[in-house]
Amino acid sequence: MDARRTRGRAILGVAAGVVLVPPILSAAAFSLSSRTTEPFLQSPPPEKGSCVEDSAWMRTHHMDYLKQLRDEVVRDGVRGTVSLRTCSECHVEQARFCDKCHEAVDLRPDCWDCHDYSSAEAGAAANPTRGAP
Amino acid sequence: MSSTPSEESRSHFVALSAGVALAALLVGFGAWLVQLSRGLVVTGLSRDVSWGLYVSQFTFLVGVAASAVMVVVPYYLHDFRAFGRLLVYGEALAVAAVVGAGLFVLVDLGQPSRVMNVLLHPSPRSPMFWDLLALGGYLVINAVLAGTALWTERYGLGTPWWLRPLVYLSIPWAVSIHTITAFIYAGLPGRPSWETAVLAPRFLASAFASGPALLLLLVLAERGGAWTDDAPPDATGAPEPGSRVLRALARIIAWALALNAFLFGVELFTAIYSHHPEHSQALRALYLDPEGGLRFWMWASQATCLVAFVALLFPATLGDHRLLAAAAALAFAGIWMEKGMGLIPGGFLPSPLALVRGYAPTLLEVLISLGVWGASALVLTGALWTIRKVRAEGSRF
Amino acid sequence: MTRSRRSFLADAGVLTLVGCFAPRLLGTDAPAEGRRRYALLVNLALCNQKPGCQECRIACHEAHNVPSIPDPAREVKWIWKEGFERIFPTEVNPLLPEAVRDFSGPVLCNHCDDPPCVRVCPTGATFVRPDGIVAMDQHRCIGCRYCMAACPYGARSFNFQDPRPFLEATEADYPTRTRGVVEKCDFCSERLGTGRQPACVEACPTQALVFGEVAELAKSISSQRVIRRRPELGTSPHVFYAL
Repeated sequence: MDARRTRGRAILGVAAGVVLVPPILSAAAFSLSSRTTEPFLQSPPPEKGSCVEDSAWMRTHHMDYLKQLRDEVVRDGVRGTVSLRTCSECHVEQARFCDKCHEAVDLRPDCWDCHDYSSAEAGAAANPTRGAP
Repeated sequence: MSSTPSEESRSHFVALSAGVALAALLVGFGAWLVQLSRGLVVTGLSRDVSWGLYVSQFTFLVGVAASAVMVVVPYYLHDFRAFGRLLVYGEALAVAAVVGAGLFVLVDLGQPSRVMNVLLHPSPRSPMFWDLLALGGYLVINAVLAGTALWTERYGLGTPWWLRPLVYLSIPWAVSIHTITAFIYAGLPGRPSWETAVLAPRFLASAFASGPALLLLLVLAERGGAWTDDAPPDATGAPEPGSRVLRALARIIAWALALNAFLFGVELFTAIYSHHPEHSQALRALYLDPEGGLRFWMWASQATCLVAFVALLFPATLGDHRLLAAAAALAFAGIWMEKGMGLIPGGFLPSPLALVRGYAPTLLEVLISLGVWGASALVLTGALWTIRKVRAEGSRF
Repeated sequence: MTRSRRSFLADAGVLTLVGCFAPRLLGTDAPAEGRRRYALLVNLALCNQKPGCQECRIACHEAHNVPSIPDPAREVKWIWKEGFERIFPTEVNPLLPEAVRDFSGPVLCNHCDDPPCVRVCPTGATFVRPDGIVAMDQHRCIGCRYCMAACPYGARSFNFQDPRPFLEATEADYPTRTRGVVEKCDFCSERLGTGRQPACVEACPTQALVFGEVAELAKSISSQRVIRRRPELGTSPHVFYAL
């Protein structure tokens, strides 16, 4: 009886090791390596003035900020304040702004399932293949 | 500790059924991944019939889960000792059924990754919100009851002080899970075939036929294994071990089938005699209209339940285990056809614009459903295996 | 990695900001006293001056990126034309004038005062705004389709698949939807904020559609009879049809 239990626990241990150790090792290796660099975000032209908030704040809080704006528009019906168009007036291209950091950390927000980042004209000018079905 | 040939074959059977369930689960999971990537277009659902096989399986399984009360009430409230060893089977069945019901809801969702929104944004006026809470609580209650029963059996402990109050709680809770599920449908003003006060009683009656039928089949499969009667022989002579359980279950199924038929009959009268077009149109779409695609299931369900009921009336059936198993299987199948196939898509016929656009599940839908049934069966197999281990090895005390 | 006090305070500030809006999420169903209450009036006689017209549907679907799905079982539609008998089955009687019996008219979400769809939604993804509009929050919808079962008018559509391949042209200033969520007419709430009329109202070639506050609409009624769909259900719909 005890031999069986020991054998079962050994099997469990080996299975846990096989499943858990490789990802932990590779994550540690990656973070210890010096390959990580900060993505270069295209800066808007200086004549556009300053953004709603500074970069550091935006980097940390843009998710909550966007959700707050979303609830304002959708649930409270308050329109005409900041929107995605406000962002894209200065930070013109999604691929050179939003996608840069998201791709660097392998994050795929589902905003783009429904929303177009920039207006039709700006989007077409920046990226001729967008807008096709 | 060598096992007898019958025990060996039984454990082979358990392993085989677990293997089949696992295979179904894996295939179903793969099919669900296809549904996740392409959307619910892979099902037979439509703009007019927007709930189909998944939701009807959910409804059916909630009924099976609720039927554990049919074992608890005779034992705890009416001192029917023969059900003593059956209790933990009923609770295990309840746990497996709730797991299956929950998975059916999950595979039905268009955006399953957002399912936590139901808890993050509680909607106390939605029966679906309350059903989630009720089913979750019922799962916990039954898991605790079954686990405690097995634990105390294995280690020779006395029952803890909180067990009986918890059992008493589980009785109205069981009734409530299926009532709230009925309320999901029964409160909708635009669906006349559902908007009836008798829907919740119908659900309970059919549940109390289908669940005990499955329990009966489980008992018959376990005969000679861990099964003996707890009751002493009565004055008329010693019944066969286990037969009091079988007879009691058979009686419950028969009564429940009768009640189910009666409730359907009164619905029929109200709809047909009143000549109220809403009610009669809905019935016509279900039972007569070929466009609806559900005729076969509804008539087959009526016939199957009738045969099962009549069979259970004869004492000869109760004595012959093969006939008894057949009657129980027919009762289970009949209720499944009514609740698990017809009732939910049928509620959408005719549509608000008086169209009858029928529904039939696709292969992928069936595969995903079989996968969820496989998951539920795996949970049940695991529970049954645990029960067997505990009872075969006896008390550790 | 330690967090500075400043970043913690900033987080707390954002959360407080968001939290300030939380009470609004717990709004009641019926519009409050004195608030604007939008409604739509359909002049069926005017509408039927142009039989076979589909301008309202075309304009709405173009403005809102509603996909054109060929399979009628899976179609998505916010506003569309139906025959009189289908819209008002209880109004059909032997003395109903032929002309009226042959009417067709637009059907859409009725933006009810007491909407069953809002009652049953388990996440609050559909809700009644103070101005009476029954709105959809596509971000929150889990696609359970309970609202579709609850709606007695068949006004709601589900995205059985990704709608984008079925868009002939995209209105970039309005989002599309994604597969797995329910959608319906929302009285063009994106236009109301800037003082414009709903797309269907603007597009109607016979000015059969009139939109505005209920009290205002009373002035636009020229016929004797105004009805609504299935009033006996108690939903108090706010799409009115003038016969």
